[in-house]
Amino acid sequence: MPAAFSISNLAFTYKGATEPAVKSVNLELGKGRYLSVMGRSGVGKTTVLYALSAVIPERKKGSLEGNRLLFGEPLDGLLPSDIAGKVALVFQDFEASLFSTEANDEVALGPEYLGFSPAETRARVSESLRTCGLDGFGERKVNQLSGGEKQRLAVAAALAVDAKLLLFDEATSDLDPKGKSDVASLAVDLVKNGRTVVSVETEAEATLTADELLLLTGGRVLTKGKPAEILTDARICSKAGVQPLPFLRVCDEHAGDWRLRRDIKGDKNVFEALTTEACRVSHSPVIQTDGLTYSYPGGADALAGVRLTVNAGEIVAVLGQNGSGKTTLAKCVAGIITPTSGDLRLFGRDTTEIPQLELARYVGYLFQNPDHQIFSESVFDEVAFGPRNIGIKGDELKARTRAALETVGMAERRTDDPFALTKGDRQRTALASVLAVEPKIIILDEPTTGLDFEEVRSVMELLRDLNRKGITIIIVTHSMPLVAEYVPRSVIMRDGAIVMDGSTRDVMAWSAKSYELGIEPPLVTKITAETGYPCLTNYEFEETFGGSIE
Amino acid sequence: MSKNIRRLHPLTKILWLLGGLVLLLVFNDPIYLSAVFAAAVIFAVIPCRIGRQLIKAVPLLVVFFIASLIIWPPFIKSGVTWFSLGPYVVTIHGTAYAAAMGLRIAGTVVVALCFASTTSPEEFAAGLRSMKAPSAISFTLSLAFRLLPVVAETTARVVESQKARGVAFSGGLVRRMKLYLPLIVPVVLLNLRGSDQMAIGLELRGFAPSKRPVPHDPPRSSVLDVMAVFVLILLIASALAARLAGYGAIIPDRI
Repeated sequence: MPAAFSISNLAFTYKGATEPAVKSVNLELGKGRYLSVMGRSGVGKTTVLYALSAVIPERKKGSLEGNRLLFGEPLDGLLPSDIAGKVALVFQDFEASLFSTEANDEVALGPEYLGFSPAETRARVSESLRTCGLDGFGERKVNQLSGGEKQRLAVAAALAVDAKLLLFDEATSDLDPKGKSDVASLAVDLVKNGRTVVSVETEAEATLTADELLLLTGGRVLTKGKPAEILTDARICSKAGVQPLPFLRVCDEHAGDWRLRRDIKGDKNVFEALTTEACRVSHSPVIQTDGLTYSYPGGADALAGVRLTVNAGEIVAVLGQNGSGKTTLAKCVAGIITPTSGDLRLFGRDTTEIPQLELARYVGYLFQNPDHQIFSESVFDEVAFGPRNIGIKGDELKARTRAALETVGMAERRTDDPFALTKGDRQRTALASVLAVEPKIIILDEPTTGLDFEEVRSVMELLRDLNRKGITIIIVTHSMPLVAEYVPRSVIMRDGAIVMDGSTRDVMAWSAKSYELGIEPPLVTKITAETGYPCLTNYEFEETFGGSIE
Repeated sequence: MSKNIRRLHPLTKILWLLGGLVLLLVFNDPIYLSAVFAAAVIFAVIPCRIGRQLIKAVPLLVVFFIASLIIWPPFIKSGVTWFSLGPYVVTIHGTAYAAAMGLRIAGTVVVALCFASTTSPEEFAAGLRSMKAPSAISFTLSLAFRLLPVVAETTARVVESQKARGVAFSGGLVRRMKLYLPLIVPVVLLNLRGSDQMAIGLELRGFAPSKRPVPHDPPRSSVLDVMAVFVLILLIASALAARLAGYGAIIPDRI
């Protein structure tokens, strides 16, 4: 099979950096293949995509060594504009990929600049929109599309220039489970139609539809092979810092559908012992909402009569598809926006009677993107901003700030410029700035987006520790493996209302059988739900089914 | 009627935008400018149907008008003095001229609103291209329009994140400015980060400053465009003739 691209001995050091981002990478992929790429943050995943799209070394300056061939032609000396139409790069940030106000114009932009005739451009626009499931969306305004729709539009725009190589850089990390699954199916369809796809992923399960999985570590290739084979090797996964999926060893695959082998049996007693959760939650409500509604200016109803009670010391996940009202509910509770109608009480007090400053002492809110809140020149000042703002001064201010920094493991970096930190460390700094106010409730909106598996676990372990100290935690997220492992209670929202509120196990087990809730449970839950022992984690699986696995 | 306005060739709309500004510049008598301003408002409300947006803009228009009434009078020395406060001398002519300038600025806002609400950034770019403006300039300007809501959304998120930390964005102008100023750093930084990716994304889709795109749905002109341009020429010619004949100027040697 002819190669779509081949890279040999690639090494690249960004201008100003002391260490190379990638070292001696050798990689080849046949035409019409689908490659997933995983690894820790900073191992060079994006740099490999930049190498394939001629972004380095001209548009992102640095020193490059090695050879690159794209469809048999050398890439050296070429600019991204020289390979326009052959390669498309889709970013995690949709807004950075979209330039027009109307979907038709967005998709037409590439063909127009590549000089296609108007008739051909119109044909390409309509075909690309149809391929991406956006038939009938042509005249829709781009800023009125959901996140998933915008992402598909970005892919449609890439297809319209007839790109033969599609590069996705964590392109689905902001999408809900359905959006992720749609984009994954789209990638498979594109490959069937002869395109080559390279996709950087953060969740191991997302790589199972790919032909090959590439693991990078320390700027080098650790391994490349069939995803299911690599992900069942715990040693290799640990080296690359990705989540292993050991249960795949005892599963059969039929057209992308994984099922547990019939000879694998679970142990009822072990399962029941594992899943009998000790109830340590109090029954003193800290958040109570009744008939809560919120309408955005312009009339769209984001919340439609939400009734919810959260007790002190709980960890609750708020789940649902993009646009279901999760973030709006969280913002109402944190006092960032004011509900249109309904009752909202914190610790029994009506929130309309609580001033903003006092509210901040009750509820801390961590935004998805830490860069939205960082503006100080040092990590210490950034973390001290919150408590200083509520009137804490002198030694107490210093003590609180130090304690918060120690909790998140950033005490050593207190004098650093927060803008120069990695995303994981910026997220920790933002979390420390919330903790320094010592709120009783912490709400986190997609706290793990853009973090690698180990960083996610680290943040979640930290939250679990805080919860053990009595802080109530609410997490708005699309990451089902995270919810399954760390969050005992899940609330599902749809069209601005709560459609299910129960134990995470019940929610996941139900979702494994029916897509009614719009939730895609972790694969381990999907494959075990049929047996009657719905496991949420690898550990539960190994304990429950380990007896029947030789 | 609104549909017909939207269907006009972008070049016609740009000409009307420029024509509107010329009409506002021809006179400096507040009575004449009131008529031009009233015509602009009627045009905005009836054919353009942007009454709601206009109502939202009223506080801004009032601020511009009042600021003009305060700033301009000392620059006009002619006419009977009403009152003076040290070097701050206010004459009847000065007050009238200040009112005219207030109407001119408010009128400019109304005309710009009419244009923005009936012309998409892509149409704007197409209009500039038909005026033979360089492709890079027309695209950059249209992209700037497209990105305004994105920048506004980023700013709203940054403000929300500060609210969550107990910052109440209320109080007097000075206090609010103090609160908003530090937010410029994250807003600018977030948008700069995105712009880097945008440049790469655009280049990979074939964009180059020197290239002229082949539009898939090129705007077409119709009889309506001819009529609209004819009416515009008639209006400007009449206004200029009136001014040259000595009408509509409270201070003849000033614009």
